[in-house]
Amino acid sequence: MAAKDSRFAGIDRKVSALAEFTIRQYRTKLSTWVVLGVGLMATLMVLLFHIDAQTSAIDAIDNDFDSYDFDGDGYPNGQELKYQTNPRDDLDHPGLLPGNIQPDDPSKYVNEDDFDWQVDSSVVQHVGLDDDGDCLQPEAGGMVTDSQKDSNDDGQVCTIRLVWSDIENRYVISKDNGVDEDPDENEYYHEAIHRSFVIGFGKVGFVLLIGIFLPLFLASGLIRQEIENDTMHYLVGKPIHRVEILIYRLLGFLAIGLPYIAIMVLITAIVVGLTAPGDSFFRMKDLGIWLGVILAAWLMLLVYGALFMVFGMIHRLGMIAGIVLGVWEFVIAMITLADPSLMIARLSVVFWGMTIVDACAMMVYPDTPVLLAQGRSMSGRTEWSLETGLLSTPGRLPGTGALNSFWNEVTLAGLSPFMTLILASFVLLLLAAIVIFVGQAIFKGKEIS
Amino acid sequence: MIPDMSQRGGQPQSVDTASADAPTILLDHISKWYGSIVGLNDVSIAISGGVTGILGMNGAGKSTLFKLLTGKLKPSQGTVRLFGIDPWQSTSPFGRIGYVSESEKMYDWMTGLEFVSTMARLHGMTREEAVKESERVIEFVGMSDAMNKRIGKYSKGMRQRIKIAHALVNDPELIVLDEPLQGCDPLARTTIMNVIRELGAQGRTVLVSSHILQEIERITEQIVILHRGRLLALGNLHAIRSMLDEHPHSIRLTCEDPREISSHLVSEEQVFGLQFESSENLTIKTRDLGKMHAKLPSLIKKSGVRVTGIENPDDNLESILQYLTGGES
Repeated sequence: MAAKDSRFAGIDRKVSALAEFTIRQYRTKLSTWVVLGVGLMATLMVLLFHIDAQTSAIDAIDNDFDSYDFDGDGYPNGQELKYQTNPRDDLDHPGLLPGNIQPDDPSKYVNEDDFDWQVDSSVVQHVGLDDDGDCLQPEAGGMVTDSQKDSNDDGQVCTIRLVWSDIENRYVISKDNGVDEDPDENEYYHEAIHRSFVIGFGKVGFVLLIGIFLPLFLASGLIRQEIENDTMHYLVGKPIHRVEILIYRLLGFLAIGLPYIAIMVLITAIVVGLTAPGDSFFRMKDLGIWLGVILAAWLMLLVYGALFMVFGMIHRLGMIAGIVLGVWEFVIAMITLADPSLMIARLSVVFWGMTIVDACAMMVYPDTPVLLAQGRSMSGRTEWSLETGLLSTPGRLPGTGALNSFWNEVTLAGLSPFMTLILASFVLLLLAAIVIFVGQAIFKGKEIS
Repeated sequence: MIPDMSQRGGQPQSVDTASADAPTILLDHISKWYGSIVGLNDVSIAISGGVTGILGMNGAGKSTLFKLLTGKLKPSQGTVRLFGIDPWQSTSPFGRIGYVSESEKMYDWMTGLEFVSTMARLHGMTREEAVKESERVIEFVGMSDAMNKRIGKYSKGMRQRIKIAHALVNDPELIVLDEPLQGCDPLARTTIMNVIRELGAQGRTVLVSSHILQEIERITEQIVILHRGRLLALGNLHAIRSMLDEHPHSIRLTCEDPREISSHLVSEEQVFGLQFESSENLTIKTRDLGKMHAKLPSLIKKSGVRVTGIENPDDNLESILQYLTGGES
């Protein structure tokens, strides 16, 4: 019993000795500070762009022309529709009605029909509310019958039909004309790019870029540099198993890398949380995703750190393998962003890290598919512009494209997002164990000349 | 001939058991080649206790031998046992040995004390134990004054001494020192030699390599001579030397008038040849170096010639090697 205790105590002392040594060694190297500094600078720069995007306002677009005054009688179209006068006849306006009605400020009729979708879990839903009456009380002589007010033929007057498509993995929308057709672009844009940024920067910035480059620069020398510098004999000439040397050196790397990732994500979370849209001073909700980003990036450091450490050990061939791996991971990352359901993506490390972030995003913002459907609901409608006289297609709402690129509904084997997160984490831990096992098999037989 | 030469390629004792009686180090028919280059060729040695000098020219295989012994290199053929244990099968022998590499590379950013105590902690000591033991061994090698300076600022002699200190911190039974005197200043040299002798006196097994005969001679009598990867001789240095003495030796005198002094030497029976190399040098050929050296002072005094230098030009490793290999070297 006592012997066993002292044995473990000995291991504990060796761990702290070698890990501490590794940390101090990092501290003395300029390259460490350059790599960490560049990572910080790059993050801060991206944050600046994000702050710029969040603070700049999108011009409000009057999608339904209710703020215009087609007939020039001083009353905006929206006001005329409200009182059922003809917006195209300057001799017919609310001013002629009893009650001495004064013309409204046209800005009252901009962004006056925002999204009001209450989505439940049923597959086919009818949502939306015609706030401004463009559908329910249309222009005189316009849509008067119920069938005209039900232009999408779903049997519901002035609603939006929302169908969840498992094949496309998104909502398919068809709207009745005039429902939720003039949303607040600015609000939508800021919400969409906020979510895009949290998910996108988490996946690309932290999981992919920092996740790969930090280990590439800092972990590949853990064994290689000791051999090249002719100092490895100080470490292997001790009563320590070589697998212990690998693990303790990696621990030293992680002792630098994990806090670094945590601090960087924390800085990002604070900046993004303060600039985020929302009623509160700080947007707490994102923290769920940021925690997922930290977990994913930590696991990436572990797996890539082990991989690059082992690659660095193999002379020449290891460097080639490292480059091939790096390129492969980048390609897979792009594939994962485009379509994570492709099975080939699973033959990578980065897919599992990104999946953790995606799973967290699904838990924190389960309404994102609805948000995306709202953004897309503006597409395909042709409008004409009074000023230019040109037909224009407004397309999707600003920010929809970005959100669409970074939001991924990933469910591994039909599991819930939480179980997906657990599974992806487990896969990464398993990968790290395999890499270390293979690495120690190589290192065990390696001659230190 | 040389008594221990017969051990070359001979059969060492039992190899497999990790018994307490096992020799500290045992090399059994070890060969090591790097591609087509032979590092060591069929070397068998068993050593327990005392200081042993490993002599050989550069490239003779001294470092290869040490790296095989300390589990850095794998033998291409043969078996290596430390305390009866294969160093490639278990790390346990490493707790009982100290190894000083020939490489000068160290962690220059650490102080001497940090370096030694970190190495001590890798042996499983606590932080406090490590510092205590490190201070002890650093004092033993005479580096206490500089132990808080960065290794990068050390002289070669200081680096060597700290390297030796790191190898002693685990109180090892076997100490392997690869060229510990190389590049050292005279003071460091003397300190290190004393340290090595002291370690031998403490009953530890110490292996010291060098290519300079006089260095080894000042440390130990027990030597192993390696030449071109082969074990050339193993045994007592004096035995080898006395055998050399039966063969012609040279003594070179540096003096003002070589011809005058030669007239006094010609009649001596130990002298069988005189050679005038230049106007200031006279080389005496003799078969009995000891007697010649004993007589030389009185002969010089008798001649009245002022002699500024006496040296034995063939009292070095090269001439021993030349002799042992029959002149092929």
